[in-house]
Amino acid sequence: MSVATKRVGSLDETNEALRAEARAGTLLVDTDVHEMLDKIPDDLYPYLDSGWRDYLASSGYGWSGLRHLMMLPYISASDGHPEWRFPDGTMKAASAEATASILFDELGESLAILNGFYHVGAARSDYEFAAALASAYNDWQIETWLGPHPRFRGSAHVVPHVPEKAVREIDRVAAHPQIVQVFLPAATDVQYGDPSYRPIFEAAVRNDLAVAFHHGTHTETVLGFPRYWAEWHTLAAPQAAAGQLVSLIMNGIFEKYPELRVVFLEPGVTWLPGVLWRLDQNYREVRRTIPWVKRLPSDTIREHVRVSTQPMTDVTPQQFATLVEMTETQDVFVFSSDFSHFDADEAEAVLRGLSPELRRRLRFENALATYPRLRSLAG
Amino acid sequence: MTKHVLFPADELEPGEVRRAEVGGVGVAVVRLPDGSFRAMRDLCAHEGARLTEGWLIPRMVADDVDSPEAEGVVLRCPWHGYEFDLDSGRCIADPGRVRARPYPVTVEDGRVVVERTT
Repeated sequence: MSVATKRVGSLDETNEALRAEARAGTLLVDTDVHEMLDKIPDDLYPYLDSGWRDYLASSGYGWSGLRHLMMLPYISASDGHPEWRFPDGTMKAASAEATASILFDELGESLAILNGFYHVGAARSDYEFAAALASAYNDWQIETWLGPHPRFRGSAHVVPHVPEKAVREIDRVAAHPQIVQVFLPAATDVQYGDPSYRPIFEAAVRNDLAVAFHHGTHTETVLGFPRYWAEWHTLAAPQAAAGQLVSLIMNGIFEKYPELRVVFLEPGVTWLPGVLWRLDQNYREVRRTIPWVKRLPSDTIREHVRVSTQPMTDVTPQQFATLVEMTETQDVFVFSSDFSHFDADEAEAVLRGLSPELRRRLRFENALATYPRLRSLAG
Repeated sequence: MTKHVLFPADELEPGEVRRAEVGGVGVAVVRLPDGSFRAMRDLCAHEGARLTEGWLIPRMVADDVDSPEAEGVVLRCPWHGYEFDLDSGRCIADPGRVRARPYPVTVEDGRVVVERTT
């Protein structure tokens, strides 16, 4: 298939092309792409009623996402490859067409799942306003990114701290066929195994959606916000992922929702073995205190939990292959680029040196087996 | 299979556990609350503890976080708490990997009898 025709066609035609790529073994699914609002708050105004528009006009960004940290280099011009910026310095990640061109034409990706930057679900106050912003963002995402580009798939952004609103939003947004997951902030002051969050998982399963967790600038380490970004970037994502994974498993979420699949985005890969082994051992030792958990946690992880690969630069391909073999996690990892951060991974850099079987699993097989709405693309 | 005649059955009260040497191997003989007997290798496959030095405890089951209840009993290792099913000898938390071999056990002429291949 030529580059010129790769992004042409309806959703049905695109899905047929994707199935052909799967049969040929060339399909490449990117599970973590960060599209950006172009103009904040203007982009969201059309999707808000007048009351919330006034709130947004009064608050500018609408959500103080940066909280305490300076977040260098995220907020600097050095975040993002130079070629991922327009000549005026603005990010191409704020343009659906430019992003599609980079991912699908230049980098050879087939399908990209959008996770955004505007994670209002992480807000810890003003939940109704945050929920209105999340809905507006979802509508903007659908109209600006998903509609024109069938190779993009999207997220239902919700505010988990108001589960009943989150459920209504999931049911509403899931009507769009390109929505493939519910996006939840990997918050460090919330344990998603708490029964109060079950309606969200139930709604995800009911709508054939996976649930993705992603850290953000709201995410603290277990010691709070550290002094420097380098510390935060070392600890926050894997600690949050580990905490939520342990909570989901030990509170029986996967026994309650056997169809549920969850994806931890951007925590890296090296944290998983220690957590997996420690989970298993604690379960062997104190199962009687959590008898609603029916299986060894590592078996539950292999069936229900996926972890995206970026950042993969911590390990060599051989080290990664050994990690997968040691933990029997051939089914667990899915490719992600983390476009368009400066430390984004290109697929070939991740896959080079891996066995053909593991390459296929990371390229597309594991992803297609994870997202219920992508399963039909499996050849 | 060889039958090994052990001690008088009434020496073990319901809920009690006793170690017996059977053909040179340590066997945990358990009398359940209903009066029936079970037997398994007296060895935790984890780190080698004697299971008879552990506890016969209620087996906790639950359909959900709000409904834990006791259903039968298990033999719990004294060292790390591994729980063993008294029929299969399998570790309840990790039945595919951790097991204490179970042995047929009966009461004949008032004495506990364990069968084991020697």
